[in-house]
Amino acid sequence: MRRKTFLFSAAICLLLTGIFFSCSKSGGGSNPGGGTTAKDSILANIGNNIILPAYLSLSASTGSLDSATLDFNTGPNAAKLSALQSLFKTAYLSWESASEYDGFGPAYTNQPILSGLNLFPTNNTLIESNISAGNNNVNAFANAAAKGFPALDYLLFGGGANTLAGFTTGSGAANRKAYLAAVSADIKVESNAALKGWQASGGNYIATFLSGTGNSVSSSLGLLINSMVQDFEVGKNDRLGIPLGKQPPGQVLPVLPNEVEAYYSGISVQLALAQLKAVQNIFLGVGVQGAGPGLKDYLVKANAQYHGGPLADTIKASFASAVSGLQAIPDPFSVTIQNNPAPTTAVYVTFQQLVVLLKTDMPSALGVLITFGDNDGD
Amino acid sequence: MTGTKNIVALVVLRIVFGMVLFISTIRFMVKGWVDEFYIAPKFHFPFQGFEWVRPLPAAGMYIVFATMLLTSLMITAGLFYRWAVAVFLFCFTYVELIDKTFYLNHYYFVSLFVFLLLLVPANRYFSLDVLRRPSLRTDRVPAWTILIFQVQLCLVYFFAGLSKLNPDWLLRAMPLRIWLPANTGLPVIGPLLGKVWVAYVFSWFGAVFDLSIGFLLLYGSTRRVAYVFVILFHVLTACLFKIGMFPWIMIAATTIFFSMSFFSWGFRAAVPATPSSPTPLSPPAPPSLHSPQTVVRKNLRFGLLALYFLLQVLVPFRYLLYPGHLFWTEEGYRFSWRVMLMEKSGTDFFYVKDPLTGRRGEVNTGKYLTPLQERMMATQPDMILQYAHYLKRVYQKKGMTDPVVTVESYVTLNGSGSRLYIDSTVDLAKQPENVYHKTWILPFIENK
Repeated sequence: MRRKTFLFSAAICLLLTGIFFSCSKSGGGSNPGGGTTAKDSILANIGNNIILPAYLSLSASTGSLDSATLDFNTGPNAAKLSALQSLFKTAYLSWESASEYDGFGPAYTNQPILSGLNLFPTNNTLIESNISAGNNNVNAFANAAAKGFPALDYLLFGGGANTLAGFTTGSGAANRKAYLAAVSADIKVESNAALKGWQASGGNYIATFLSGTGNSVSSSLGLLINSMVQDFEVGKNDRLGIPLGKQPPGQVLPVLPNEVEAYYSGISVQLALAQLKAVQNIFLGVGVQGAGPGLKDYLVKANAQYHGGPLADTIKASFASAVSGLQAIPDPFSVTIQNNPAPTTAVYVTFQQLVVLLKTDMPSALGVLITFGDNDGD
Repeated sequence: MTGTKNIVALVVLRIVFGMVLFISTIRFMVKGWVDEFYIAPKFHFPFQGFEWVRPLPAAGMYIVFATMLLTSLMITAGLFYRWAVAVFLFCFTYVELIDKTFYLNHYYFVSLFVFLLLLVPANRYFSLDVLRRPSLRTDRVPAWTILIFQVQLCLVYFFAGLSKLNPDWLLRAMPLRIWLPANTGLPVIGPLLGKVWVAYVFSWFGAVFDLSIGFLLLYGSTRRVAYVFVILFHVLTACLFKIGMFPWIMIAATTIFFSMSFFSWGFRAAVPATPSSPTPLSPPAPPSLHSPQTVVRKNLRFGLLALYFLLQVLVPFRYLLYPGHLFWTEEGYRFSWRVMLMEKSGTDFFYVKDPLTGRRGEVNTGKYLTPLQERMMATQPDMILQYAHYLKRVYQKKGMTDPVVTVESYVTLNGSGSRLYIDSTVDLAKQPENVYHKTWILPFIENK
């Protein structure tokens, strides 16, 4: 009887471990065959026509930006500064279209590198002291708020009419040029690393992305929705909420104008719009090939309803009203919110409604868990 | 409740359940959850009445988990059995009480089952304790020591089944209709899972299974088929849903229904079925069972067990004391074996207002809660209230004398579409935390 007790216990334990491991594999939801179900065609469109082109364009524009920086540094003049400023805006806008995928994949594996390129408001005191000291190590932890696009925003626009003089006749002009080059090179290198990680010729994360079907937190859909929603919600707080004085204790009158994104170049609304449209494009499936299947098609397929109508239509309308609301806000944002904050406050409310739909209704209709970690349910 | 039974079922349960406890504890640690759940958060959501249960510093939490690893192995091996069970029970329940964010029905189940293990002599056969003290060895145990586990399991399954008898589950196949299509990538059954009728089949089968399986396991003639169903059912749920250790815990726990004859069937060996008539314990039982106070102890034990099971039957019905839709308000929802019944999700915006200045600001909840805490709170009013009280304390410390805390909260339940959940005009800082109905939960609006 003793032997049998042991054998039986062992058999049950073995059985349990056996199925435990066989199921954890299939539970991961990988579909090696791939490429045939409706889900895959949505992932394929989002991966091939939206995400990859976004990284390509970021890599290209930051490359041009860096070349222009080097050219500017060889002989700074007004024409070159103006060219550089224009390339800066292009690159910054392309960053806004790539930040939605920063929460997973190669952009995240080591650390979310792309979001590190846009921590605002920048610390211009720190930048100036780095320049005086000749400290160009922009990747040092202490310099997190003295690098990336916000640092360029300050370096290229912060001096107003005297900006050019800082690179030519001002004291420490050589150091300033070196710091500019270091910030620009860092942006280029990190953007390129994110692209390489996704490309088939590099880390080939695109293959992982396309095969990660299912709706678990670790599936491509789960990763994408979580990353996108977090990016959008953080953006809502940082781009609109904080400058509007929305955070406690709250302001009777706004505002914190120098907390806006791109304070010096004054393109805050353009940037916010670029990010909003990027999120909208993932939802609608609009990429370089034009309209294709997007997240909305999952909702249509699941026949998701919202108060008696299709959920996809509700979200589409909500995007449209957020876009048109934001388009009506004039740049520079830092001035607008001081003179006439009411329209922006209204836009903020439409952003909140969109957050609810994207964070609660859409994932719930698809069974995707909104959490940026892992856990069990029951 | 009288008579004796062969000890084997109890011993198998001890070994298998001990191993499952060991594996779940390792899994919990390997996934980094000790840190993520109990060390990283700034604020925890204690259970009502257990606000005094606080997490230990990092080293302390890891010592607690290491102790659970050690004692689960000791339970399996039957070494210093009662101490091991008592220590495991203490550590496990302590951890569960720290934060209701991480409440799962199967954690509650583990606490109950380990409590029952504390009452029985599962170490008196095939154990290191018997090696240490051969006089402990016995082949027979009182029948109640096995019956209590069987009754507990029957209650769990039956209440799980009862909770499925609701319109969403039976008439709309919710939430399986949302959850199943996510698994269309699975081999063989995958393509079927996208079909609505399959969601109905799963829903109805699940309800029938839960309602009947306990009884089918109890009766000898249906037991074997029933256990095959137990394994199939739980393996299937493990493959389809992200429910962690739950299926394995149930497969391990239900081994308690095995009798000696089942083992002989299992091994195709000729072991005579055990007689059902009581036989004396052999060798003579240790003093603990035959002391002069035996009768008093026995009565006390049965009295306590009767009270325990009475509570087990009553607690799941406490929701009847509250008005409103149970799934929406979640008043009386926990500790009732309601599993996988809802696809519920929410978003909330908390506001703090200083009545002196009239200034009102939106709280960045990400600063105070982990994403998982935030998600779990969004759909549970008692947690929303706890967080509001926490915010009140935070802003009082910042110098606001009388912060007004309100929430704009949107929740969707089984595809209803998000709606306002909490009365956004109510100052939650002034609302009491108690067991009474929370009048500030807005009523659920049904969609046609």
